[in-house]
Amino acid sequence: MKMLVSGAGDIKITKDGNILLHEMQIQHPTASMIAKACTAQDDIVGDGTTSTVLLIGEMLKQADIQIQDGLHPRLIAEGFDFAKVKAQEVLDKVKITEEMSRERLCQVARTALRTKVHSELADKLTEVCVDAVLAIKEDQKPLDLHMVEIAEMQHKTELDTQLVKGLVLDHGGRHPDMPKRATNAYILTCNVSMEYEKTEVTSGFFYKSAAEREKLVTAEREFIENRVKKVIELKKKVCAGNNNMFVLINQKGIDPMSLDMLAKENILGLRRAKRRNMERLALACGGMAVNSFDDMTEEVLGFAGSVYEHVLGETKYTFVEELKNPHSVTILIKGAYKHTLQQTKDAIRDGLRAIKNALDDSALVPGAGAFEIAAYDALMKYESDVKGRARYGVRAFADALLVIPKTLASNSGYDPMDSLVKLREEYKNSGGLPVGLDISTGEAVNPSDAGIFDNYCVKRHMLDACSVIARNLLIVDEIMRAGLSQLK
Amino acid sequence: MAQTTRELITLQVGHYANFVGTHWWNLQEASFMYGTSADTGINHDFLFREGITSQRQETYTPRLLCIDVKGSLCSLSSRGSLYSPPHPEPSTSEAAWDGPVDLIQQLPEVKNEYLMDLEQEDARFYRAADEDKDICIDEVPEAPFALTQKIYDLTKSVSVWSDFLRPHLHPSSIYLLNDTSFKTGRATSNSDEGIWGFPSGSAFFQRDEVEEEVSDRIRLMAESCNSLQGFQVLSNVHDGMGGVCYGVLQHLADEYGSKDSITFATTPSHLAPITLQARTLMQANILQSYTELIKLSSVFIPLNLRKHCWDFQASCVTFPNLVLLENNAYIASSVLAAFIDTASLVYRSRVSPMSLSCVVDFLTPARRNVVGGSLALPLGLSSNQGMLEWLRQGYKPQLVSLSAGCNFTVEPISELLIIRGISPSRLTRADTKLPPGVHYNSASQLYSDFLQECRIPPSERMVTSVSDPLKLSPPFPSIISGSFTEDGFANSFGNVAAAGIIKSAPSEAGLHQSGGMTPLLHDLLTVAEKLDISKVPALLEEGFDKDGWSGVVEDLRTITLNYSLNNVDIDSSDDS
Repeated sequence: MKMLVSGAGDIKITKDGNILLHEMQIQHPTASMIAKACTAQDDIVGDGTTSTVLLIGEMLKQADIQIQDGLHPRLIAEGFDFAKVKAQEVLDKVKITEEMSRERLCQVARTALRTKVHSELADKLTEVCVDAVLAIKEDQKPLDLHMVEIAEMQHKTELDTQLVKGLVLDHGGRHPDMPKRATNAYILTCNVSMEYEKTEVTSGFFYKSAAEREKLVTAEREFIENRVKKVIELKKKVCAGNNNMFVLINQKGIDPMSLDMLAKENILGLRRAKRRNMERLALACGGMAVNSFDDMTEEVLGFAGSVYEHVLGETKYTFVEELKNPHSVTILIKGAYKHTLQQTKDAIRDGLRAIKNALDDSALVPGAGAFEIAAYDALMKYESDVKGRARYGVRAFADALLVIPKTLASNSGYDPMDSLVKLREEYKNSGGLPVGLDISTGEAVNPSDAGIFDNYCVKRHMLDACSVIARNLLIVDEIMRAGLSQLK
Repeated sequence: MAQTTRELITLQVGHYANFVGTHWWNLQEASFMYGTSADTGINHDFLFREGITSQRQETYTPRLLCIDVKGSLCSLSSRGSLYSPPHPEPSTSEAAWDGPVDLIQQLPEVKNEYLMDLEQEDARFYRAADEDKDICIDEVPEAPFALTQKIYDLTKSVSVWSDFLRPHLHPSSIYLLNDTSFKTGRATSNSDEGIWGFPSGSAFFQRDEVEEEVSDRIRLMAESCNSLQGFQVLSNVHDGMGGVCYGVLQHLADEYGSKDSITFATTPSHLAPITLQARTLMQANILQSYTELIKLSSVFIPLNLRKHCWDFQASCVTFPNLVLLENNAYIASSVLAAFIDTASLVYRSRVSPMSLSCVVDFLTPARRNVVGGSLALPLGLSSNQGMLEWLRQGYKPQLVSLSAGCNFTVEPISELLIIRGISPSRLTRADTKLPPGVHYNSASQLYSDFLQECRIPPSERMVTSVSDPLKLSPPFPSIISGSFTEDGFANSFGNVAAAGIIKSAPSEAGLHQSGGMTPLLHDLLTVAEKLDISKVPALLEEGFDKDGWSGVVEDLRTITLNYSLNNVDIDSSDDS
């Protein structure tokens, strides 16, 4: 884990390879290519960035040994290609395809999160993330992680991070008389301006006298007032005969006069909601967002059991909770400092991605270095089938893969070579069962039993990216050399 | 109606725009009047908002969003120190992690003398607050006097805008673009000069996280406004920030369609691209930024001290009583800020603020929305003269154009003049005999009557005045030369300000809609037509393409068409 403090005192805590790379000013073209691969990995699958960097570095290192021995880079590149195809075959073989139960999702999320935050928090976040994804998951529909809103509150500690089965909006009522709390509330979401202003179409006032101008102004004002009245009418209609409350959430502005009218009717009015929250609101509370107040019926209204306000310094938060069937939820991150909030946020993002990947693949790969050991073994056998000198490339690739278990071992304080020997022996005897490293004992363990899983697509993409980048770098090297020797 | 606060949100996009903006906020803070004795003519609530920190201290911060590239703040923390007092030492225990945590610390940035003094002043405040919670904020204003009396020479020590930023900003006011993600791995031809193109700027803005963050911050500010009337945008145009600004304006048009936006396009006068590639890239950026921003804003005001908008060697405009080092961003930007501060008084004066939409309607007849700006600083009125006498003697404020040397006296159509710093007692001398029934209350009344009498075109004119002068306290550079009194009036007796310190000055700014903008646009169009994108690799690399460019040329032509008196004129030049 790194804690970066800039000259101006801005703090950043991270371990994520991609974020770290973005903090560096990279000049060297090779380094920047690796950084790009890393960014791509992050964009596409959201995890495995550090592994990507490690693996590319190790591939180049192994290739260098071979090149020193006089092997042509192009042959190594060719070997890499063969090896990649083979490794992906192995990957397909070791992957565990099954229906994703909640437990499995927890395991994969925990594996991802434990590398980002300490275990107590990781376990807490695992629950939060898995529940969030399961809440928004709908059958036969692609999962949209945007429907998990992530809100921050600089308050309490990071262990108070929680899942809100509803929405948290970062603004509140702007009128002192508005209700601070509403129970059994109808929710009207809309995108209609309730501000007195010039009209949306370009136009101007044309008047001859002050009185005439006044008249125009009142007419204009009336136009807005009518809109507010329509809302009030609807409120009266639906709330007649029961104790229900009414909440108006508007994407456009509401001016003080309109707020006043709403407050008199005991309506909570929120203005300038986030655009994406409009979509989320409709999913969470039901109902739908309206663009005009004409012909509104009860169907457009959503419903929430409880809406309340929480004030923190100058920021107000409005919680919309106790929903019937929320298809959109909020993860509310808490923390004492801005940088701890950010750290938790990064971790949650990775956790959510890991769960989404698992659901999309409906397959998992045993973690803790198990895949790499299996792939190494398979590649060493495959090496003898490859004709010509390209086999050295295959070997280099196989050796490079071992960097993952080695790093795991050394990070947890064991001798990397020692652990490697143990793992390989264990794998030989296990008869094809996956074998990974138990970082608490340093012994071999079956990751499936221990519940350590990686994402299939992360591994797959990593193999792809690494071999392509390493290959390109090798060949570029050759071209550069040709150029240099010509210059001499 | 007139008394409601009609808020404006300010956006500053790009490094130089932030230079100008910083000077502007400094000027505004200098004009704050603590206590109630002195009446100020400026309603600061239009641009500032009240807030409260988690320590329950009240704050008054600009409604502002600055967008800049990461690493251009130096000693300023991106979240400011207002809401989170500087913590003593970062400790690794804050990281939520069991294992070892590496603490990697950059050396603290060196602060210049001015910032150190500011910091000391703040520290005094924090200490006081710790000792006794009841001390109210009103006691603090004692301190600024100590500061304003000191003279700083920041000409050399300022390298970034945060080096002379006086007001504290709200933590969400600064948004930094992470430039490493677009700078890494690009060919080095132009990256050594640090220029990126318009298309890459707008593409950068379209990245999910950037657009969401920026639009969310604007939204939060808009949410806190009761009756938002519009946006003021200061933008760089010579680099990719033009593209970012384009993205921002598009968002504004989309989300806040009924609000007006007034765009000040700032071009630094210190640009001196070395390679031909870099120069072409900058020109292309300027062309495209101008075109796109003109299309999207209600009023577009180009600001450039050079007399030509893309010739980087053209001479600079000269002011009769100002010494300007055009190659120093700190000094050159101060003049632009003085202009913006004065000109914006038209919609933020306390007495009779014009609504932004009126300003827009007034200045943009017939879809001509490119407006020239001009400034006269100091006015030149001498200390023992009344304004009326001065005008009658044939003097006039010498307005100097700040819009790339546009001559605003050509075919003027409408103009807005803002005159500040003339108190009612200075209008006439006590012994002046006015015609019966004539009585002047404000400088605007006097000045507009005078101009009316002299029949100086244009006929459509509005004059506004505010009695507050431009406060030239540090960190505003001392750029006025010549013999002036402490309050900026021309000296006739020899009571020169001590040590040449001029604390404030009257000034005038003008916004002009005139035929003078036509040559500027014509020139732009000619250059745009000549530029062959496909022949300059630097442009292609930055994402310019042929089709896109012909679109730009077409748009520019449409804009220029609005400015030509007879459209045939342009059509015939097309054929040739």
